[in-house]
Amino acid sequence: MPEMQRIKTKVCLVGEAAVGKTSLIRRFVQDDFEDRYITTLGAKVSKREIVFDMPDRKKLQMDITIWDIMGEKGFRDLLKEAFFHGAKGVLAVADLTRYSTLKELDDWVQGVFKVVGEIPVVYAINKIDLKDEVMILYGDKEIGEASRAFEAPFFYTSAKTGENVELLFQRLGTMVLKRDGISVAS
Amino acid sequence: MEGSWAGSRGKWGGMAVLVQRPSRAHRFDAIGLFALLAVSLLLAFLTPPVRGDLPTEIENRDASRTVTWTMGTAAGLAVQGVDLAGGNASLPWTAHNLSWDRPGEFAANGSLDPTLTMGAAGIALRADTANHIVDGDFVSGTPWTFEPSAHGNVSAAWDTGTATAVFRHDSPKTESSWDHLDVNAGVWAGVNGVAWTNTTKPHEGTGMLGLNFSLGPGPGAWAGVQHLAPVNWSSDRMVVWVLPSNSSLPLTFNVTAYVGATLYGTAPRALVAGWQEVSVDLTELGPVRDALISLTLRVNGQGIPSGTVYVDDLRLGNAKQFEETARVRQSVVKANATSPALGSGVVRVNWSTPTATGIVRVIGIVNVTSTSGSILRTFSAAPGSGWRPFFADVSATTALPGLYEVSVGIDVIADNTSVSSVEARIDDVSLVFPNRHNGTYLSNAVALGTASEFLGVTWAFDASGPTTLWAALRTGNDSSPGSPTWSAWQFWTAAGTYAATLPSASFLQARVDLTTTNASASPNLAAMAVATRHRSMQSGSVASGVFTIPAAELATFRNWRILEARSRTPAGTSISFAIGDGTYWKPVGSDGNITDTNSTMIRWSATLATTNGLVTPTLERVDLVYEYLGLPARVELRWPGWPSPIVVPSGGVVRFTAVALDAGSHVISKEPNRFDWNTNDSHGQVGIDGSYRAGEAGDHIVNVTFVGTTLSATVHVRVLAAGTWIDAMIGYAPYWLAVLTLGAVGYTGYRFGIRRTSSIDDVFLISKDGRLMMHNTRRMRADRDADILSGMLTAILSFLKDADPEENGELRRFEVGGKTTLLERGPHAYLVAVYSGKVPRRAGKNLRRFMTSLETNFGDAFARWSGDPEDLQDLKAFTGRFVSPFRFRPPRRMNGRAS
Repeated sequence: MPEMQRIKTKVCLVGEAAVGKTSLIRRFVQDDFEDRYITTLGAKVSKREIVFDMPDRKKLQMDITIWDIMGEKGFRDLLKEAFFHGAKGVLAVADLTRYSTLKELDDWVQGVFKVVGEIPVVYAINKIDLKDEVMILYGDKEIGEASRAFEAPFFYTSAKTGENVELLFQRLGTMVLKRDGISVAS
Repeated sequence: MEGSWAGSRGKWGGMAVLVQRPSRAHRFDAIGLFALLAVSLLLAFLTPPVRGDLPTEIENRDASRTVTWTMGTAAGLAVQGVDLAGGNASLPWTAHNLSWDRPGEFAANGSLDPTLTMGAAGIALRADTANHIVDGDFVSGTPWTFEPSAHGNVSAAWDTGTATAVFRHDSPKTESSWDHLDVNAGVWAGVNGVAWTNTTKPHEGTGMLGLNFSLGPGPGAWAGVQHLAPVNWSSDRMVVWVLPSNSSLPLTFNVTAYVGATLYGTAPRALVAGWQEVSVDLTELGPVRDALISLTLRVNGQGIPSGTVYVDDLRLGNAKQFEETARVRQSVVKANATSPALGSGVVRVNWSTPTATGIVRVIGIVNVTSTSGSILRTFSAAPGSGWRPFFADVSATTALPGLYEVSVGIDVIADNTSVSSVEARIDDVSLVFPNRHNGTYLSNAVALGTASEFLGVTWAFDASGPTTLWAALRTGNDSSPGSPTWSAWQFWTAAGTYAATLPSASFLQARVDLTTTNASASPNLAAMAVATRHRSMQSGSVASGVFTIPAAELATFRNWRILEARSRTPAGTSISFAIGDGTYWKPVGSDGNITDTNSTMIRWSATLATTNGLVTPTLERVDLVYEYLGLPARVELRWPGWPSPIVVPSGGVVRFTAVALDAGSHVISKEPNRFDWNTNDSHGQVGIDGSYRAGEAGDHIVNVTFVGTTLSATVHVRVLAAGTWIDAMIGYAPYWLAVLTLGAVGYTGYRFGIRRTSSIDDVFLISKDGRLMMHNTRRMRADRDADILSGMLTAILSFLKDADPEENGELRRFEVGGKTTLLERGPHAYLVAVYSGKVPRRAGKNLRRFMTSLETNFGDAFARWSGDPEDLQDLKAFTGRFVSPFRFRPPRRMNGRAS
């Protein structure tokens, strides 16, 4: 079988409270600790392993530690140095049913950038499963405008159905590797 | 042609050389051609190669080659039940239309409220169609009661011949001639005009009375013919024919006369063109009319300079004046209550009035009466040909059960002196209580067979006037409508074809609400069609043609190694592979291993399948890798006890084996005589079979070279002096045996004691950002993932540091669950050691010393660490020394890969 290269990386999961950050990734990560650590400690770490095909026929396994950060702005300002340090990517999550959560993402991402500089960002617009049940007040245009500043692709996601969550990880992983000069098959 | 490419004419034969200097113009042409070629080459370089689906073969670095098939086109592939599009093979979409165009299909797939009915045209609100009128078609004439009018002027009868009810009135004229107006001289005289007798085309008799007149422009102008003698007009009606002539309209006509000294006049009547019969009510001239003086027939108008009017055939009589109604009647018993809403009770009657002359008008009357009230509806029964219907809504009066009187009659109004004749008929009388109520059709959960996309819906229904129809659909993924997998209803209120925005699902439910505000009217549902599509549930396959190892490579071909595919298999989908040589197929395992295949002909097949109609597996590319015997790439040495260091007494023999390998580690040769053996042991020697006989004591090397190449391998050997060896082994045997025994006992005791009192379970080396750089554990299996644990530990330490700035990162020790954790921080990383049992007194110092040693040897590597564990591969062995139960002593600076 092809030779396997490994790389460890750290990404931050940010966004306002109750946008569904923890639920969004729950089924897609290895999760050894309970969710209460997020509210008591301010963060919880879980892990996702992704295997990429490389052009030289080797494979690359990326071990991603995902820092799920509590969605309180005051907390962000308090502990951002510690929790954002060394992050290689940002998963920014907004709630499709609350426009304000999209606008707040700008501050969240800027907060990360202030600590680690500009790193790849992917937007997840969560709760797409509710689109037929509640009035949606924003869409592609507003999301595109919000994410364009960070050159961030965006995906409509659902913690309920798992829609696009796998793609989210794949895309962020590819962007992180590309930033390090590593090309993989997408 | 001044310049040419040599070809066969040139001195260099087939080589392209310019034999004659081209003209300037041709030089520019040549430059242009070169430029074009250059651009073409550049484009060819920059443009991706055209995608081809015949297999391509590339060389790998490890003595293997990869044969690749892509899915751009079907060339070279056998495709069955699979679409090739966008460079992928996938299962095709299959259209599925759910169509209910007969009411029975609705009923078979759902349930109708009792208020609904199913007919040939569709589903509608159920109506009570019973006619509560007995013998409405007058076949027997019973139980009808035929009632003439009050004074007998209008009769009512059953006409057995036509099976209708017939109403009639007939009466003779009551008028007689008073003056034919044939001879008028001395009888009538003109007033404000000239009266004369005209015998040309009188209306009656031999002549008629003419009046030439001129009317001034002011109001009240008139002219007339006056009777020269008093008259006795005691009758109440005068009738005369009048003809205006010479474009003298507008004019009115009336009669004036003196009774005593009082002038009376009748109401003016407007005249029209042509002969007209004017009837004058003489009672307007007063009650006593036996001596009317200066009786004048007037024409009134203004601004008519010249006009003529003729009068003829003046008659007197008493008018027939009455308004009477004849009826047919029957009683109706209504057993059930109905709604008072419009349309809940309706009387229908067909009527016809073939004749109606000499009367004022004829009116049709429908009357329904009960103790709770009465309702009367009328219609104009004007004469004409044919039957006409009349509907009377009697809902407001007929809601309650009880006894009702239903009558249909003809009312005749007469005020004439001429002959009168009326004939009116009625037939097909009905009284119905339709009493329609709103209802709902609800289908079952209709299984579509698999999850499907909804493309469109077509509704065919009629809902107009007081009726409405709401059609709705919803979708779900189980057979229990309303469960959480089901969507909300989507409604349509007008018939037509619509694009459906229903969520994709495997079940569908339809609902139709039929409503009306008129109990006799109903909407009608005719048909429904829903267009869906899903991925083919039949598995499809792609298979390659047979690939044969090229003849030039047959000699070195060894075996096939692996089948690899670039594909996507979302949940519910699968791709299974098989390989064969054209005569058989055998499945390929999930690891793609096909090393047991060494046929020089091979082909593959991929079977795509899904259990979810919304998703398909996609296959983009298939690689088959085969191995071949390549050129020698390296030489390896082996010896008994390999890879342990070689220590041999002087004179001892070590048997080496040399192996020449290609880049794929395939053995090219291990025959000793194909290797050239050497050693720097001046007293030792290596035979051609690889046997090394040790010479003098010391460190030496043994070298071997694969003959005909520069490939070689070298190994170090330590040769001990024979005497030392033997003395140590024999002369001091009692001592070293004793020392060995004591050492063994002591070591065992020491290890036993250490393990009883203390041991290091885990050592974590963690980067400052929380990524685990290295984990060394003596446990067989970790309780938690070390990467996650490292991150959480970093988060906790950060939290503690921020929660109490005074702590300033100095936490060095904490105890949890009977275990003690010591921490030591370095500039780039920190070290965590987890102890079980009693922690040795020197543990903290040991940890600091170890951290310092790590930073000394690996600090630069830590600072630049990209996350690749390979960059720190020497750390594990380094850390192993710390985890050992002996006190850590820092090594000399390493020269390993920690850089």
